[in-house]
Amino acid sequence: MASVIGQFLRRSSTLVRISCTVQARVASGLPHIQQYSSSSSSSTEEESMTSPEGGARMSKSMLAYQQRAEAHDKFMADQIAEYEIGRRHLANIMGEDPETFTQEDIDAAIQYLLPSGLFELTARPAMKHPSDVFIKKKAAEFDISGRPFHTFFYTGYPAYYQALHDLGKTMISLDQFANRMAHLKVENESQAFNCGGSEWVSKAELSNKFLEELHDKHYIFFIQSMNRLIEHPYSSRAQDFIMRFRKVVITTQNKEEIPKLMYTAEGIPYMTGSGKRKHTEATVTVYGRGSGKIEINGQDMRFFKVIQDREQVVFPLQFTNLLGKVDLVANVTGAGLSSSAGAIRLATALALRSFVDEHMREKMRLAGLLSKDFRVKERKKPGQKGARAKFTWKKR
Amino acid sequence: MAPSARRAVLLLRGLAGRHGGCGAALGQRCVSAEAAQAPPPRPRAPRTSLTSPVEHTAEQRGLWYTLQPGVVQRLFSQGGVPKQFLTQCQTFAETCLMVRQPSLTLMDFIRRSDLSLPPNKFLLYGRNGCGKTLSLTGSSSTSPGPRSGGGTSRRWLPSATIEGQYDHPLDAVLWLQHFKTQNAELLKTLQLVTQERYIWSRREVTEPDTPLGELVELGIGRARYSTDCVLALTSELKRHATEGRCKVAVVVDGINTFYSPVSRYRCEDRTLLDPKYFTLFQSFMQLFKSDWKNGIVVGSIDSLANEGWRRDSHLPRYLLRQQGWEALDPFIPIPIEDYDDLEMRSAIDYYLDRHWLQNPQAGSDIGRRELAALSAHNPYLLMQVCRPL
Repeated sequence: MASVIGQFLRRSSTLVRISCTVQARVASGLPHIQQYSSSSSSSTEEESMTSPEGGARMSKSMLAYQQRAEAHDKFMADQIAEYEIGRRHLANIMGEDPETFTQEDIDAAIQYLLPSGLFELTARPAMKHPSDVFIKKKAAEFDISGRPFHTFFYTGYPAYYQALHDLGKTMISLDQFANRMAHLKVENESQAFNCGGSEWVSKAELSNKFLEELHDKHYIFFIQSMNRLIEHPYSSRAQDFIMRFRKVVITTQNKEEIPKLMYTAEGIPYMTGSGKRKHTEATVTVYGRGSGKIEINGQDMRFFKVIQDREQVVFPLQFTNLLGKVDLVANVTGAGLSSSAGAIRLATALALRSFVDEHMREKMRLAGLLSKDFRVKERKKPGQKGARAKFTWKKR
Repeated sequence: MAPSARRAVLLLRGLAGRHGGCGAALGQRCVSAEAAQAPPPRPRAPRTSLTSPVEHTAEQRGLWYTLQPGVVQRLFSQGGVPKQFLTQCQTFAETCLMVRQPSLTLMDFIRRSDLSLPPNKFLLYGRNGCGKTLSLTGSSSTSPGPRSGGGTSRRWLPSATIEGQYDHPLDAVLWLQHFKTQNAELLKTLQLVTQERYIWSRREVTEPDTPLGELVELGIGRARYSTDCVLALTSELKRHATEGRCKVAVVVDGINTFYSPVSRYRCEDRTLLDPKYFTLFQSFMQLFKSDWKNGIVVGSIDSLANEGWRRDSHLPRYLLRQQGWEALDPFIPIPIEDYDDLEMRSAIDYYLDRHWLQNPQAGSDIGRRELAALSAHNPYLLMQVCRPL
């Protein structure tokens, strides 16, 4: 970076004269040298300045670049120092050990101290490491003389093509290994890379990784090439390389623990479940070894006059084929018969999880029995008659 | 949860509600794996050939018996039987009832009643839809006596003969017509005659020793005097029964109607009428007293026969109120419960036999359990649930 350049300048004793025309790229903010003419004789277009150290002479643009880089470094260092101090303060506030206060702890503490009900999660208060907050920039791509460090600099996407180059080399080495194995007549079971549990990074993530703005065609070609690598029979040997470009997929289903059945004094198994729907809450106890009795707030099924509500209560039992084999005792509070029925249905289904096996639980989940119905009445908006209904529109 | 996932995919309702008669093809797709079996063979309704409830014993419990044609005709012509039941009988092309424990108990009690003592009063009570009215229908189909309905009155008039009381001409006429349908032959056979002189007006007089049939005809013909005719008739019957010339069975559906403190009617000064001034009521209520013999009283205590605010409980003391309780006490209460497992099975078998349940899974084990759960084992609710299936 700029510090490297600075060191280089200080160490080198030769005066480097650069006469070149510089056309700054406004977008990147980095000087992009398009034309290099090395002539020791002074030219009319010479723009040179002495460096602040009074050592090597470099162009204005290079100097500006160096200053910018240094400023950015300093800025980031300051931000990181502030962040660290803030992290320690936060740990003290929460009564935790500042040494072992991780980013997850920070997130939890912020959520506790500054609770927010905003629907847009990125708008909520957060305290992240500055490197996650501020956009990363590429390090210096060329030295003081304008010679690029990376061989592929002039492709415009050096990191991308480097990755492809590495891919090619990996493929060749895998082929060589395969040939050796075949030559030695070693019969191996397939050592192909296991794609399960991970997926390719997206185009945006790949661009961030390389810090280069890739086009769609770049991304597609890259993924196609990587897929060919994965298809190689010995691709597991290149696991590290492949996993650089794959992300582990977090399973959406959290393995929540299904509570175990409890037993009454007489030895009858039972389980309680609670469910909510709109503003109604229901607590249901399901007793095993039953005869199909259903009790709701002390009454039988006639508590619900409408057949739809009765069907809702019966549905989890019928689905798991436990209708007539278990007894149900439900207590429901809150107004609304239809929402009571929905709350009882959810509570019953959650209680029945303890009575059924894994396969049936999965089926219940797919049937939507275990999901809370989060629909509530939408608020009325000002200037409208209701939540969605507008006032009568008058043309004039 | 998406609305589509929330819609109950039940075996029975989820199909018929939307696609009517094409449930069979869709049914196989919609059901859960456990229940998607081949439809069970259609069962035959468990029937008994004994058509008279008098002959039924505990062995016939849960079986269906067909009512005799004469009885059927009587049922259809008189009131007091639920209209829905009559419609169902027409659909099924037969009139069948299930033998249930309360009817067996009632028949047994009637058989063992000592008719030389004041009449036993058997009152059926139970929750709505358990079968009080139909039990009465079944038992009264054999009884030769008059049957009165505790129906709603529509028109009322101040009494023609008794001051301060009120008549119900149209209802009295209807009742007399029903009485005639049921009992005309019996009256002729028994040759019951009036024992008093009844003066209706200056020119209309009924002399003693007039056949009761003529009294009935008079009441039917002259609506003005029909209520008083009913009063006369019931008094005469009471007397004849006490003297041993006939046996009288009084069957009342909704006996608690007689003892409500208010009726629907308002006087000119907008106060609600007290039913104790209704002559028609009085003529029947005198039959509930214990001052005659050779008779029985069978009634049902129905919460629907009370006003809307007095229906919280189905128990006799609550529904009869103090007045009714004192008037009817002592009586023998016969509780009527919801269907038990045997009866539920029998009822569903009957519906399947009559091709009423079209869904292929209705007769399956899971289908039956579902019907039982949705109807809370109640006969009336079962009928309602099975209607669209």
